[in-house]
Amino acid sequence: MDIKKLIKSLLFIFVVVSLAVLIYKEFSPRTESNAIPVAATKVDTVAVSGESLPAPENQPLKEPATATKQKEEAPSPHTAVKSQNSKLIAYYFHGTFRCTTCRTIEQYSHDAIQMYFAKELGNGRLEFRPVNIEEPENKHFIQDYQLVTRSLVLSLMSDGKETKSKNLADVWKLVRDKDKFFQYVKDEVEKFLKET
Amino acid sequence: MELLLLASAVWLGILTSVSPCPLATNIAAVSFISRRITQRNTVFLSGILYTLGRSLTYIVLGVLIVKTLVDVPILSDFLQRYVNKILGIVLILVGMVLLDLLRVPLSLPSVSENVAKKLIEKGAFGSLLLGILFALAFCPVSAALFFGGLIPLAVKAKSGIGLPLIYGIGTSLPVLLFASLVATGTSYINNLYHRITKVEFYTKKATGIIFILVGVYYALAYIFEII
Repeated sequence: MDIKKLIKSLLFIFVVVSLAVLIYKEFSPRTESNAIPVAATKVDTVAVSGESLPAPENQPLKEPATATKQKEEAPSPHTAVKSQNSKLIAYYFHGTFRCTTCRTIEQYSHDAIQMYFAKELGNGRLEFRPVNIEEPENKHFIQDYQLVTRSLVLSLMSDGKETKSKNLADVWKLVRDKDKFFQYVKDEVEKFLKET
Repeated sequence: MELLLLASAVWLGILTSVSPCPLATNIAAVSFISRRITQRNTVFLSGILYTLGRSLTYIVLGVLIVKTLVDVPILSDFLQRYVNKILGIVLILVGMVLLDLLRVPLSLPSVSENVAKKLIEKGAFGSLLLGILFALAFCPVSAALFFGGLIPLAVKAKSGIGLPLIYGIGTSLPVLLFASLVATGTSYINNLYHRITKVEFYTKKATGIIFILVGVYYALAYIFEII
């Protein structure tokens, strides 16, 4: 009987704490986003998705305006003249909760790009950028790309403006077939790179 | 053409239910449906109501999207963000009711506590609600398959009811199959030992414990964000 009461109390405490955390997180999004500097968030996403990411760290995750600036801040010895004005960004959009399949998709996307486009990554023509869409400052991506779930989106930037983008929706269909997945990412990225 | 659409809807549904991501809710659903393990008819009825509940959710969403052009990304984001958070707390509370740790508080004077409890225990009404709730709890995989796979089909075919209904049945099929296997298997063992009441006592407890565990998992993953 005592054990029953103990379990009951523990569960109640858990429920109440959960509710409190839920409400706190919901109603103080401003303070939360101010408390966590954007740089820290960025480092976090990088850490989660693999250390070898080429994305420059400690930089604000802002859209078009900063895209050209980023290249200047993180120059690589091979920076080609061409890449000064056009560049391809491969976004991987995820949420705070990371499911198994989503991790696989992110891993495959990252590996495929790393495997086939090392040169482009090196000279800054291509960048792989994981973004948490649940962070308040990234919410606009949901509308921008009509995201319904975790997605891989290619975005072609020219002079700091997006000229073309594509949501690679088939990643969800191909995630069970690694070879086809890699081929799909390779083909799509190649099509876009032709235009940079 | 029609047949092809229906087949894709069922297939998308089955894919949704066998993906690892809604696994936790599926375990809870199987244990809830097969809870009255000695009464095969009740298990069957529970299963049908659970399926109906799921289809109902998908139909409402389908009609909303096809007829009113609700903004799909916002809807998908909203459901993935909030329903999963509330789900954990709800599951823990239902689990506590099943374990008799919690009495059902009812303020409605006309419905006594016993009636409410009977409804929950019968599983009939409960299964319907469970289906509605679990279908609302979208995770990345199910959102990709429903919003990214089924909805475009439904919009093209202007079918806000038919395709989501079939999809809902598809999402429950594996759960139904598993629940009936569990029920058949256990009632066979059960008949061997003639310990009908004993078995039901344990299955109800087991369901309660599974609900609490799944609820804690959801709370840790979606509220505390530590899993």
